[in-house]
Amino acid sequence: MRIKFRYLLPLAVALVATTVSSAGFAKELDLWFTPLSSQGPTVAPLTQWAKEELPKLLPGVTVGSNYGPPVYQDGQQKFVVQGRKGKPDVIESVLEGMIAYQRAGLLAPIDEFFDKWADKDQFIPSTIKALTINGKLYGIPYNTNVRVLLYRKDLFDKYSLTPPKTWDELLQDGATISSKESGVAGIGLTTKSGSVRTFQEFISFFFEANNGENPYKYDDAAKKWAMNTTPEKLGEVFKLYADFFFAATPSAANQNSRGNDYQSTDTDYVSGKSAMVPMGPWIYQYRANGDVAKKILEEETGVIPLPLPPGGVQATYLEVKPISINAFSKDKEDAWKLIQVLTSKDFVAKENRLEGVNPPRKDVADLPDFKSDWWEQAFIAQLPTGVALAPINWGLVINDITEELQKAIYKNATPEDAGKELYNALEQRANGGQL
Amino acid sequence: MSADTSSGQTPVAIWWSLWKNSFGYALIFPALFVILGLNLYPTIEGIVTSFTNQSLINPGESAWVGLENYAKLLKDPVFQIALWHSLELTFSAVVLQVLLGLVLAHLLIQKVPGIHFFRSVAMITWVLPIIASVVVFRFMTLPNYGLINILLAEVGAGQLARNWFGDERSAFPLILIMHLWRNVPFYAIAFMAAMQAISADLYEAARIDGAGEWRQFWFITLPNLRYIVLVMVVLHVTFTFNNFDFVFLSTGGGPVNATEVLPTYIYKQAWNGYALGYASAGGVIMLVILVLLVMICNRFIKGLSEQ
Repeated sequence: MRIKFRYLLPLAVALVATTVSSAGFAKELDLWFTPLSSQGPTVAPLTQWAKEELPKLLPGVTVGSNYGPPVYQDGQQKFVVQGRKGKPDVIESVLEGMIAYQRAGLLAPIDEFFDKWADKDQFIPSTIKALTINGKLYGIPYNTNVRVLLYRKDLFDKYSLTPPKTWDELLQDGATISSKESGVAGIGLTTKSGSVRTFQEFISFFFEANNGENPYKYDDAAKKWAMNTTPEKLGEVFKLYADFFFAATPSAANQNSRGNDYQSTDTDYVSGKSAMVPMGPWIYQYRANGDVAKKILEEETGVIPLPLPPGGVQATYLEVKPISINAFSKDKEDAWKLIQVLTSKDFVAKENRLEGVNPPRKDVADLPDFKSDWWEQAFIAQLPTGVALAPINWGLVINDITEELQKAIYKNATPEDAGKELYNALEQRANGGQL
Repeated sequence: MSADTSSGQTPVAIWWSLWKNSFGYALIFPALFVILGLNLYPTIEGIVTSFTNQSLINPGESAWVGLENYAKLLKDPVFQIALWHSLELTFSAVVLQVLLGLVLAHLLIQKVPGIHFFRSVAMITWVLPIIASVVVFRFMTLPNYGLINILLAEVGAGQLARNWFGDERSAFPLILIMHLWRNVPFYAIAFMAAMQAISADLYEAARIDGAGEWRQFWFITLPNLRYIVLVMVVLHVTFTFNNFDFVFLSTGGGPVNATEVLPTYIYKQAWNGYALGYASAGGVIMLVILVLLVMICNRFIKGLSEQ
C-alpha cells in the first residue's frame, strides 16, 4: 500500500493543480452552433476551422468542442430547460427559437456591445430589425435567406410557358406541366403536419395576400397581440393550396405528395420529379447528389419571386439565423467576442459559401465570390421583400396553421371554413395570452 | 414502551432487532432513493404542475388554476381524437402482437434445418433503433421512389400508389404495422422460450388420447403460456400507450390528426407551445388511464393464479 500511495500522491497533486490552473486561468465558453454539429456539408470544414482558428482569434478563451444538439428543435428544448444554469454561453438559433428564448428571459440584450462595434453598419438593416424585440437587439445574424420560386427553364421552354407572375398563372403552368410531362408534377410543396417548412411556405404566400404583414400586430393601447388579418385572407391562401391539388386534372401538385416533408420536396425537385418549388437557397447543396441534381440546379433552374395573388404585394418569409448571448452566462464579454468572430466578414463568407445561403453582411455580399454567383445574386435580389416573423410564441400557431392547411388539402374543410377556423384559433391564442 | 408490553419484547431486544434490520434498510436505501427521486418526485411534481398555468417561457408567472387545464383538455377535439387513437392503437397492436407472436413462435419452435439462424434473424427488428425502423418505412412508402409504390406499379396496380404516410386512410394502419413489425418477433421469442419449458410428456399423453394439433395447442400450449402472455401484454400496453417515436418521426400526428396520439399531443403542448401546466394535465390523464389498464391486467393475472 505504501508503494502505491507513493505514486498516487504526486498524481493526485498534479491532477488538483491542473484543475485549479485550468479553472483559474483559461476561461471556457460553451457554444451551441448547428453548422458545427449537424450532418450537413458544412460540418467538416467548419469544425476544422474552429479547431485551428478559434484559439488564435480568442486567446485565453477555450471554446468547448461540443457544439450542442444538431437539430434546432432539440436545442430549443434543452436550452429552455437548462439555460438558467448559464450554459451554453453563446447559442445560435432560428428566429422562432430566438423569440422563444427572449420571451423566457434567457437572452441578454446586446445593443451596448453592438453599438460599439466597428462592423455594425455592415449588417443589412432588415436582418438586424428582425432580431430586435421591444427595441432591444438579442442576436447578430450570420446567415439569411428568403423563399422564392424555383422553376425548370427547360420544361417551360419545351411547352412555351412563361414564368408565372400570379397565383392563377402558377396554377395553370403547374397543371400544364403535370398533364404534358410524364412523371413530373407541376409544383412540389411541403405539407407535413407540424413541419416548420410547411409553415414557412404557407406564411410566404400569406404575407403576399396580407399586404406583407404578420397575422398578429401588437396593440399598444391594449398591451396585447391582436389579429392583423381576416378569415378571408387566410381562406384565400388555403384556396390556393386546395387548387394546387384539385383545380385541374391532373392537378398542379401531385395529390399523392400531400403530407410530404421537406426531404421529399427537395429530393423531388433535384431529381426532376417536380417542375416548380417554393424554396430557399440551401437546395444548391444538392448538386453533390449526382449529375442529374447538378444539371437541374446549375443549368435548368430559374429563380423568380413568388407569384402574386390579386391585389397582393411582393413579400416572402425572411429567415434570419442569429447568434445570441445567454443572459445567465458568467462571461458575457468573452461571449460577445465569440459572436464577433462568428459573424465576422471572414467567417460569414466561409459559412455562407459552404451552405449556399445569403450573407446578412453587405461587405460579404460585395465579395467577388458572391457577386459573380448567379445563385447568390438571385436570392439576394429578393432579400428586401423578406418579412420577419413577429416576436410571438409561434409554436402552437404553427400547429394551428398546418392543421387547417391539411384540412383544406385533404378536403376535410372548404378553404373558406379552414380560413375561419384558423382565424378563430389564432384569435383565441391572442385573447388567451398564449402568444 | 407500550410496544414492549404488547409484543412481550424487552427494549434491548427491540433495539437489537432494529439494529439488525437497519443494515437491510441501509442496503435498499440507495435504490429507494433513486426510485423516489427519479419516479415519485417527478410524478408528484407533474401532478401539481397540472393544476397551474406554468409555462416554460414565463417561468416566474405560474399561478394555481385548479381544474381549468383538465376542463380545457377534455373539451379539446384534438385531445379527444388523440385519446381515442391511443386506445385504438394500444388495443389493436397488443391483440395482433399476441396472435402473430403465437403463430411465429409456433413456426420458430419447429425443428428444421437452419431454424437457429431464423431465430437469431427474427430479433433484428426488435434491436433496431426505432428511428432506423421509421426511416426504412418512410423510404419504402415514398410516392416517387418508395419500394412499395414501385412494386405496385410493376404488378400493374400503380393506381394504388400513394404517399402512404401522407394518406389519411393508410397512415394509421401503417403506424400499427410498424409496431407489429418491431414487436411480433420479441413476443415470438418470449413465447417460444415458454413453449420449450412445457413437458413433452403432456403432448405425448394428448396424442395417445387422440388429440390433434389444434386441441394440443388449445388445451396444453395456451394454458401453459398464460403467464408469459399476460406479462407481455402488460409490458406492451404500457409501451404502446406511451409510444411517441413511431408517430412523431413518421407523420408528426398528421395528416389532419389521423395519427395523433396522446404522447405526440402532449409533446406539442409542452415543447411547441411551452404550456407545461396544460401538458402536465394531459400527462396525468395518461397516467390514470395507464394505471387502470395495468390494474385490469393484474386482476387477470391474479385470477389466473387463483385458478
